[in-house]
Amino acid sequence: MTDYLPPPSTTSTTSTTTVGDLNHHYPPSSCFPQPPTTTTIVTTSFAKHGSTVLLFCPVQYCPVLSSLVIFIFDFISSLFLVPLINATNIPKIKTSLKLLSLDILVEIIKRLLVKTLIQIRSVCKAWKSLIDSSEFIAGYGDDQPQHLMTSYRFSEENGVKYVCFVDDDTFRQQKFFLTIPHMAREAIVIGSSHGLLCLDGLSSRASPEMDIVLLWNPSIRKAIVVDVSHRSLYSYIRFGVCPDTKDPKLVKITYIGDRTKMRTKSCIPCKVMKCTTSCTNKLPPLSFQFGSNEQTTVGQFIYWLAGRSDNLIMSFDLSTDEFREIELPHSLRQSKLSISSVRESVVLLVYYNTNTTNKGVCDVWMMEHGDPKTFTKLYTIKPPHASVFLTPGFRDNGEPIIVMYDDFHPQCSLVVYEPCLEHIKDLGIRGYRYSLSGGFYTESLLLLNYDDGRIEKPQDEEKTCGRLRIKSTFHYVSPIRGDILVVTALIVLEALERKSTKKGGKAWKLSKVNSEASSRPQVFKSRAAKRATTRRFMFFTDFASTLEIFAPRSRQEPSMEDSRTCLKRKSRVI
Amino acid sequence: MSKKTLTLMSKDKQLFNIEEHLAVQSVTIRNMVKEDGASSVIPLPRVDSETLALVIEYLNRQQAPEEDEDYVKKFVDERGEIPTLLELAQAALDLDIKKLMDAACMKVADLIKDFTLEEVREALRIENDRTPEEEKAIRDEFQWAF
Repeated sequence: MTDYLPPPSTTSTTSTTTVGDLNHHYPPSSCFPQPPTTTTIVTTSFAKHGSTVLLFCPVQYCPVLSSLVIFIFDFISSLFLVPLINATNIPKIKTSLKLLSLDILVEIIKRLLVKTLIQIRSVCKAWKSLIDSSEFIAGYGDDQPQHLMTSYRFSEENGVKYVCFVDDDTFRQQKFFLTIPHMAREAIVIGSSHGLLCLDGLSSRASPEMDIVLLWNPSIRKAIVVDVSHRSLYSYIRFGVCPDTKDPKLVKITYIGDRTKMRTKSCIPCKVMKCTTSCTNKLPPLSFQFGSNEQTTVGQFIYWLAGRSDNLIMSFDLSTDEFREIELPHSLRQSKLSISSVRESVVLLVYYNTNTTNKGVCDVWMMEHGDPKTFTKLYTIKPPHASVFLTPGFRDNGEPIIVMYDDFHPQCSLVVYEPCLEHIKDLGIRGYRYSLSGGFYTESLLLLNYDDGRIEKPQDEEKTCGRLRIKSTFHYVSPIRGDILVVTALIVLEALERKSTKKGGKAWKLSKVNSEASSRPQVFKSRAAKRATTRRFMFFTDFASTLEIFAPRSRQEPSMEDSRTCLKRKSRVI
Repeated sequence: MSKKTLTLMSKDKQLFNIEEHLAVQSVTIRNMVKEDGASSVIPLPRVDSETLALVIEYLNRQQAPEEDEDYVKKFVDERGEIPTLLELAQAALDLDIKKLMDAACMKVADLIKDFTLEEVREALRIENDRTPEEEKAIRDEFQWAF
C-alpha cells in the first residue's frame, strides 16, 4: 500500500492537482473510481485510520452536486468516499490565510455585475464603503458588456414596455424587463453615456413648475433630478459623462432673442452645466438646429447634428468644455441624416428610398478619430422585403439594430441586421411604428453614492401643515452649481377639504437660495396658481444648502426637516 | 551562451530557480534585474513557497502567444480553490504579472458571484460587523437586488 503514497515532502505542502494528474502519478485509472470530472481535487493529507490509509482531498465546491464535498480516497478499497458535508461545518483548510488585500478585493469585485455588487455591499462595512467610494464607482464598468434597451407599445392602447438585451455572446437569449422611473414614463432619452441615461420630457404631472431632466442609472435603478431652469423653446440639452472624472455633464444651449435675431447672430451664448461645476462657453456660429434630439457620445466628445441650411456635426469636449464644428462631405450636407456610433467611431445614417423597389434603405457612413476626412461609406442597410425606419444603435460587433416595416404587417419590428449576409435576425419585439425605439447603455455604478438621490421614495406618514396635508414627499439631490449640493424636494400636498370652496389653494415655488446669502428659501407666487382647480399640488422646493459635498469642511446635511420647516412657514402665508 | 538563471526566495526561505528570460515576465522582477543585475537571490518576503511554486509553474509555461489566454484560464481553473487563488492573485499583483492576476481574480469573481452573503463571508473569512437590523436597512435601499 505504501507504494501509493507520494514522498513525504509532497504531503507537507498543499498543492493542487486534478483527477487526471492523480491517475497519471499513482495507480492506473481503473483503480480509481473518479469523482465527477468537473471537480478539482485539492490534495491532500494522509491519515491512517486503523489499517486503512485515507487520502483526504478536502473541501471542494462540486458543481455537479451543487455542494461542497470532501473526497476521501481509501487506498485499501481503492474507492472514493464522498461524505456530503454541510457548508457551515467545513473545516478551515488554510487557517493561515492572510487578510484579503484591498487591491485584490478591488480587482475581484470590479469584475462582478452590478446586481451582485449591490448584494455584497452588505457583506461588511468595509465592503460597502469600498463599493460606494467614488474611486471604485469611477473605475467600474468599462469592461462590462453593453445592454440594448428597447421601448415599444404593441398598439396605441397599450402601455410602453421596456425590454433589455445583454449584448454579449448570449445576445437575444438574455432578456429582462426594466422599470422606468414613474415620473419619466413619457420621457425621451436624450443621451446615454457610461451607464447613465438622460431623460427629458418628464411627465408634466411630476414637474409642473420646473424645467428638469432626469439622470437615470437603470443598472442600479436610481435617478436624480437636475434642474435645467429657464429653458425656453429655443434651447436644447446635450448630455455626457466625462470619461476622466466620471462627472455627468449637461450642456444647455439656448438662444437669446427671437428666431429672427437668432438667424443673424454670429455667436450664440450657451451655458454649460456640469453636475459639479458650471461655466459659460461660447458656441461657434451656425450650430443650432431645432427638432433634432439625437446625439451620440464617443470617448470624451458629445456629437450631434446641427446646421441651418447644410448639415454639420457639432462636438462638445467633455474634458475641456470646448465646442467644435465638423464639416461633412458634400454628399451628406443635404441628406436626411441621423447620428449614432459604433464602438469608438461616429456613424452617420443616411435614409432614402431606392428608385427600383421604393423601399426605405439606409447608408452607413463612418468617421474615425473625429476627423471628417475619414468619412467613408461602409454599407447600405437594406433588409429583405422591408424598409428601414430607424437605426437605434449598433452592437459591439458592429451589427446595426434596426426598426423595420413591411407591407404585410401592421407593426414594425426590431431586428439585428447582418451587413455581410444582408439578412436579419428577429429580436421578437413588435410595436406600432412611432413607439419602437432603442439605445445602448453599459452597466455602471454612477449615482450610487448620491445620497437620497433616489426618486419616488414616498414617506408613509401623513402630516398636516396648516390647511395642507403632505401626501407624500420625494427628494432628489441635484448638485449642479459649484460644489454646492442642491436638494430638491418634491412634496405632494393635498389641500384639506374646505367647506366654502372647491378651490384647492395656491402653489408656491420656493426659489433657489444662494448658499452664501442665506439658507432661508424665498417664497413667491407661482404659475401653478392657474391650476387652482386641481386638488393635488406638487411643490418643488429647492434648498441650496450650505453643505459643500466636495469640500472637506462639510456641514450638516439638509434633511426633510428643512423642507417641513419651510412648509410650515408657507402654510402660515396661506 | 548559457541561459542566465535567477534565484527567488519565498517568505519561508525556500529557494526557487528560474531562467531569467522567463522570470522577466514579471514586471517587478524585470525592474529589479535592470536595477542591480540581480546577481544574488531575489527575496520575495510576501509570497509563500506554495504560491511561488505555482507562479513559477506559470512562468515556465511554454505556450504560443495565441494559446496563452486559454492556458492561463485553464491554469487558474485547475486551482479552483479560493484561498489558493487569492494568494496567487496577490503574488501576481506584487510581481506585476497582469495576465495571471486578471485570470485569478476573474476566477474568484466567477466563484463568488452566485454565493449567498454568508457564503461570501465564509469563503473570504470576513466577519459580519453589522447587526441584522443594520443589514436590513442596507438591503432595503436596493430591495430589488435581493
